[in-house]
Amino acid sequence: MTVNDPALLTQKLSKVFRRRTVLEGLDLEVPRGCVYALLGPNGAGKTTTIKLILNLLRPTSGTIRVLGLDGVAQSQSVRRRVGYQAETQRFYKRASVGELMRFCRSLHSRWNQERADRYCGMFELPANARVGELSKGKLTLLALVLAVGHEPDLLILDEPATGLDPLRRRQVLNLMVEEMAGEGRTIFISSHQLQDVERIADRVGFLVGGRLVLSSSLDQLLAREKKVRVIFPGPPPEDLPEWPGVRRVEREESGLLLNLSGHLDEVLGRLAGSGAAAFEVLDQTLEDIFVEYAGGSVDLREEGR
Amino acid sequence: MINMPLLRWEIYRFRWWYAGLLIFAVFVLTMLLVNLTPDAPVMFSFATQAQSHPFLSFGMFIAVFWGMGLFSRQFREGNVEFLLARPVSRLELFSTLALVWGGPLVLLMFLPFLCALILSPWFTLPLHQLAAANFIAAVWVAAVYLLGVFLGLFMGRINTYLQAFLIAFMVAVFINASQATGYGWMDLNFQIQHHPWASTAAGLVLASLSYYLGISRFRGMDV
Amino acid sequence: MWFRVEPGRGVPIYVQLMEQIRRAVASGVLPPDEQLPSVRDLALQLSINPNTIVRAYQELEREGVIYTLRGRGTFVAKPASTLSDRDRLGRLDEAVEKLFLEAYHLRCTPGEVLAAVKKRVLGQDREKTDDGEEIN
Repeated sequence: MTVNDPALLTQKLSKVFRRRTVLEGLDLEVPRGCVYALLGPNGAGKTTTIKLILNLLRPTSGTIRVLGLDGVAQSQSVRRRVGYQAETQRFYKRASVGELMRFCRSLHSRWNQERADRYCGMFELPANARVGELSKGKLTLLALVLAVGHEPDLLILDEPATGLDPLRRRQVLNLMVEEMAGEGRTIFISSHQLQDVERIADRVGFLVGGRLVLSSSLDQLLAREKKVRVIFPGPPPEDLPEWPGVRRVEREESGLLLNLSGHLDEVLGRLAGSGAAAFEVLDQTLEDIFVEYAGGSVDLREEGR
Repeated sequence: MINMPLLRWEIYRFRWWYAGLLIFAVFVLTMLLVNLTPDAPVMFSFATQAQSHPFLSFGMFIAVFWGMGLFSRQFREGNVEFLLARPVSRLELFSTLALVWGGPLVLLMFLPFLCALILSPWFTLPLHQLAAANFIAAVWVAAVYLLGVFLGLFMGRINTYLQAFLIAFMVAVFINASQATGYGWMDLNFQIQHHPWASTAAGLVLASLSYYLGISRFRGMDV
Repeated sequence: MWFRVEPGRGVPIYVQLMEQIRRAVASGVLPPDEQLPSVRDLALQLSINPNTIVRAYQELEREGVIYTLRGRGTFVAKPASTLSDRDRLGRLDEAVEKLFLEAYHLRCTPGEVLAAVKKRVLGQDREKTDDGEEIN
């Protein structure tokens, strides 16, 4: 295991439940020291991927390497250096926060109690509160504190914003910023809060129907995915949908809407050369890109066609 | 093989349960001692002559269902997922939880010996034989408990069917055992008395097999 | 110094940050040699990835808007443009193109566009002279 190993590397990872294929041929690479956000519609396989990383689920085929270690054979060593916050929290309802934290501390050789205490204070988690009496949001926060207490090299957060109000969401983001201050620390998030993802992620991946349809740096993604509104006084070029970069062409009342993935300058040049009267480049938000790649129709009028 | 922090945590969590069990044991002990007169030959005899374990069948019956309940409860409460996200190996988790839950039950099998130990200043008692007999009984309870733990790893409907089948089977054993005053290969007490080494070996084999099956299944399971 | 970034605008966060810093420098809110917040402080203030801020600072330094002193921090540079004429005018062309598209959608006439530009340019110059002299 060297410092150059990616934080996470899966090769042709697949998972089949009974007869349902949840993940197929997943090739995911997360470099060290970055914040990687795995996005995708509900049921796309994000939680399954995370559970496979932690060896809670056994892969049907393919390999997983976490921090240079074999995710299956060396799972216990992996989990020494990984912190995990699950999507839903169910545990030890009769214990108190303090007791639970002492227990977690005893399971690890490395633990930063001072930092854990600071986070507990920030999130208002008193040591004598019963776990079973905490609200859903507080449970999420507790799980987060327990995940970062042992200063993991890889932090895996499954929907960290679940049940949190905007203040807490900001605090969680700041916690991630602080965690990133550590050398080579990597954060892997699965989230639907795209605004938070835009703030904090270096790289994003789109998991749709068990396949990784996209994986790139966030900045490159935002630079690449554009829509262009164009008006042709006459008929548009026949081969427009086949131009490199054009993913989709939509018809609007006054013109066409092109979905582009890269090749922006080329397309604009060709449009100008093909007699387009005017065009406008529209930046795509992460949410727009998500909707585009997640498939499915947003327009209710199209249902039932 | 055993995770010490986990062991301490589980014992701490169930401290009242253990206390209750201790009180129960003391109660049983007292009952046995109080009934200790030549007029109550059964009670006296078990303590003095290592004839048969007073609650072996009962203990085994309880042990199976107790074992089956272990992991269904742990999964339902979400403890397994919580612990397996931490650096606890599946082997450690399985072994530690099984020990915490089954240990006291197995130890209860030594109550007759303990009883005799208390009586030993006043009577001459075959302590060694008693210890051996209790030990074999404990092995069998442990074996059946581990079998229950293994069977309990099959969740859902299968679990229900297994439980139903086991109830029927155990009842049959009970009836058979109580009817067999002489010979009956189901009568474990009889076997322990007459074939102690074979009984021990069989018990250890069943225990090891059950443990191995349980661990294998637990290792390969999706959580 | 209060910056603000809005995710969900379609503009990368580091670009938004750069725009804000440039605007602050251009309007004088950030005078030369004023120290900018450290990467970590700004990251916590805005709740964004520190790498984003690093990138923004690096780009701005390349443009000559700011400079870094190792171990001391990041500071606003004096307003000498180090961009070539081609880059400067190219950027200006892009801004003009944006203005043109906006005007097209608003169905403005060329006359209206020119009048708006003239008003703004002249207004700026009028502010610059203290003694109220008009310039045309």
